[in-house]
Amino acid sequence: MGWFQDLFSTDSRPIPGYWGTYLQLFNARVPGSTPIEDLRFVVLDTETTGFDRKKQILSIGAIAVVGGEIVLKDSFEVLLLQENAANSTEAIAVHGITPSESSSGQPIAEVTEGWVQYMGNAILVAHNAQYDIDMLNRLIQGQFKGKLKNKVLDTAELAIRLERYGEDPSTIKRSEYTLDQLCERYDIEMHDRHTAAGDAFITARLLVLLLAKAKKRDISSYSDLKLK
Amino acid sequence: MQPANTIVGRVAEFLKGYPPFDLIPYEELKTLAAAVTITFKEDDTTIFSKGDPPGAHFYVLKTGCVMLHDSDDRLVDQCDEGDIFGVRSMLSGKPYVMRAQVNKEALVYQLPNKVFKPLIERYPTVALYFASGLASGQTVLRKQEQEAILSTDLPEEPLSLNERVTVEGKKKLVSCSSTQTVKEVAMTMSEHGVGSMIVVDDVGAPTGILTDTDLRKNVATGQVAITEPVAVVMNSPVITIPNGLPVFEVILKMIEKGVHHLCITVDGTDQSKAVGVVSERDLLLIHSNDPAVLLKEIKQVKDINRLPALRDKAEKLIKLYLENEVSISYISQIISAINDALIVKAIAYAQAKLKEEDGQVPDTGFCWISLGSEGREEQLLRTDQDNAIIYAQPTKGMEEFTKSYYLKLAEHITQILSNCGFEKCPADMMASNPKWCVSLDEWESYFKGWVMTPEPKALMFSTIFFDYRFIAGDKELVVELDQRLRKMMDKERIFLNHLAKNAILNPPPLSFFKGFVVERSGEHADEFDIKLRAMMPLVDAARVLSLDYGLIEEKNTMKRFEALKSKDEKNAKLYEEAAQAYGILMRIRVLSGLEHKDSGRYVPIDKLSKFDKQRLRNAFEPVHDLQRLLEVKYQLSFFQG
Repeated sequence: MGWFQDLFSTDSRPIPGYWGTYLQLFNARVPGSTPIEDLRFVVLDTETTGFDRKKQILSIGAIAVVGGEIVLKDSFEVLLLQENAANSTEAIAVHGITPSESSSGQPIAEVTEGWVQYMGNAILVAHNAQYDIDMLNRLIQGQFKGKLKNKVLDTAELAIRLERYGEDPSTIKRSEYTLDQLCERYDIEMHDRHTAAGDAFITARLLVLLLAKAKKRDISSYSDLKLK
Repeated sequence: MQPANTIVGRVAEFLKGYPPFDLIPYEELKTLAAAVTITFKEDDTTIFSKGDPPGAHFYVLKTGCVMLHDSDDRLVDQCDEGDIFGVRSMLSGKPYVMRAQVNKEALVYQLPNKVFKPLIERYPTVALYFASGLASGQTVLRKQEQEAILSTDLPEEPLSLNERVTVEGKKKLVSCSSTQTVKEVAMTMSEHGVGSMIVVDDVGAPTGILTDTDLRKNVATGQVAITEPVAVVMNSPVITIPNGLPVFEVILKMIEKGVHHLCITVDGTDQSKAVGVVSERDLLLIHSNDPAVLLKEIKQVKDINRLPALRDKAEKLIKLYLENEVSISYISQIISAINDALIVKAIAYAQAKLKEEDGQVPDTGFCWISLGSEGREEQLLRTDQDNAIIYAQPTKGMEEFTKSYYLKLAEHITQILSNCGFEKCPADMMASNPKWCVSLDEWESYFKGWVMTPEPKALMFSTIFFDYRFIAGDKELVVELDQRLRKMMDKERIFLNHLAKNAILNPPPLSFFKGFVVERSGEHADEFDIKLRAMMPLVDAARVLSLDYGLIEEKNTMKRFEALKSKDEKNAKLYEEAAQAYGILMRIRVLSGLEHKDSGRYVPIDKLSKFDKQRLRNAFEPVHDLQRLLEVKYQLSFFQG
């Protein structure tokens, strides 16, 4: 969905009040010299139905990293109400969320509001982040016209940047940078794998580890992170 | 919005695996977990330094390794997964006294004091955990371990009392009708070899009971003729119980009703069919886990071949006691009493046998002594025999006969003990060795030789023979030996320096890290010799100090430390801790030995629970302190032994 389309769309669905509040958070620019310790990261993961074009979010899990510390109090976990979830058997086998569980989740509008308020203007972090960001945008756009404005940090890319600095990107195998591979390499226990909150927690542990390593390489400020 | 349940649950689950968090109910633990923050620390990062103001939280290590150093920069402890640190400051609210430095990349859980402290107040066991100084780097606070770990009493109800009284289905109840004559019934009883007979009606319900006692009291005395029907002599009504009641309920019923027999019926009333009878004696057999019963059985046994089975029973008893955390000093006393009774029985049997064989007995007495760990009453598992005979000076011309008689006696005794699972000593330190079956004067000259020429072999003998303990025979001989040795110790003080030097040869390690022993030098080893590195140093220290203070009669290590407390008051606290440490070491060794079916000497560190590792580590401190005490007291750094 490009800006051109946005401009001429005739979406008349009402935009909720909280979205305006959310957008205002981005009015002030974050100075590039802001130390990483002063930033709030929200590490997240989503579980979805299948991998086809009509896929839907079933659950969201997230936990914040502030001042280099994972803060359990500042976490988020929700199961979405998806009554007509076209849930494939293969997907159920991965995340273990059954259609009956999906039908007992929280209403989508409520979840979206809760999520937007929780995340605020934090830097969003996920492993292969683009997928999760796309899914969150799709969730929002199912209700009203809007797109996440948060900066995004991909732990897979950060790991590559730290481990393979200056190397020709074509020689780097992405398969060595899966969450499983990295966890094994850095001795991170993989409990509750393939639950949204479980994966978010694992990714958060990977993030604090990578940030500690980054600091040693003088990656210590907001601009050093080179966020998209 | 509630924090993510999956994540909080995961952290709570982790904490639950380690003390003292396992003492906190799970719901509370989740509240604590929800307040946790997690950080990652690179190698060499200092988490806190000595003098830093107290933080808002304390720490639990998730992965990696953190070293704790004291103010003199000595390594105090090495933390691994599940270890807690920064506790002293959390408890006292005072600045840190140690330095915590990351040795290997560490994922550290930070637990806020604000949330944790109310839990300490709410759960006394958690408070006790910290009071006993089990957390890392907290060794300075160690104390009252005994309260936390050793209960001094027996469990109120021995487990055997919970066993159930049941009738074996196959065994048919021997019963009779009330119209049968006394003679008929008595004949049936002796035919089946039973001591009682249930009298039943035509549907098989019990109407009375006839016992041996009734026959003896009423029939044998002529009060009732043997031609009379049993209805005349039987006891009625019969007290009935259902099948499967716990032993203690059955005993209570007997006491309550003042009877020695109960009848088991189908529904427990005397209106249904009788299926069995239970006597007080039956219960005593079930209840034979009672040490007093076992001891009595050993003392009363007629067939010497029954002894091994009885000693096996004692082994089961030890296990039961250990599982129930009965205090180690109580267990070792019981086991010593059982072993002693067994030896006494073996001696009596051997004496009778020799008398039967050739009739001639020396006219001078003897006594049997146990040596080494058995002398110290510290033998929980059966090990090799270490024993000896002291005999009184034979009358002139009887020397040769006396010696050969006692040797023959010892030969029989050691064989019986060997049959009971006490293997013969490979070094032949037994009464059946002509060298260790000698007169009192000869014993004195042995000791004198070791004391005057304390070369390595003499010191080795000293560690075994000075721990002699009277078992049976003429006690005067041991009393006399005690007196002669006390005089010897007063005169030959230099011997104590040699003995002390010998006692500090094997320093204890510092701590454990994962499956390794951490030495004070910081080095690692994967095997832990609990006997050499922790128990023997305590035993040796207790021996040299009690010989020094004239406590010749005291042999047991814990009792020696106990007695030393009043002789050397300024070190009373250390002696107390040393005694407790010894108890803990004994327990860990015997449990390890029972589990791995060996002597328990080499403890597999990786198989120990976190709690046992902490207990063990804390037991090293008094060993270390005691060795320092010996070093100073006997000036061992200047002493060329």
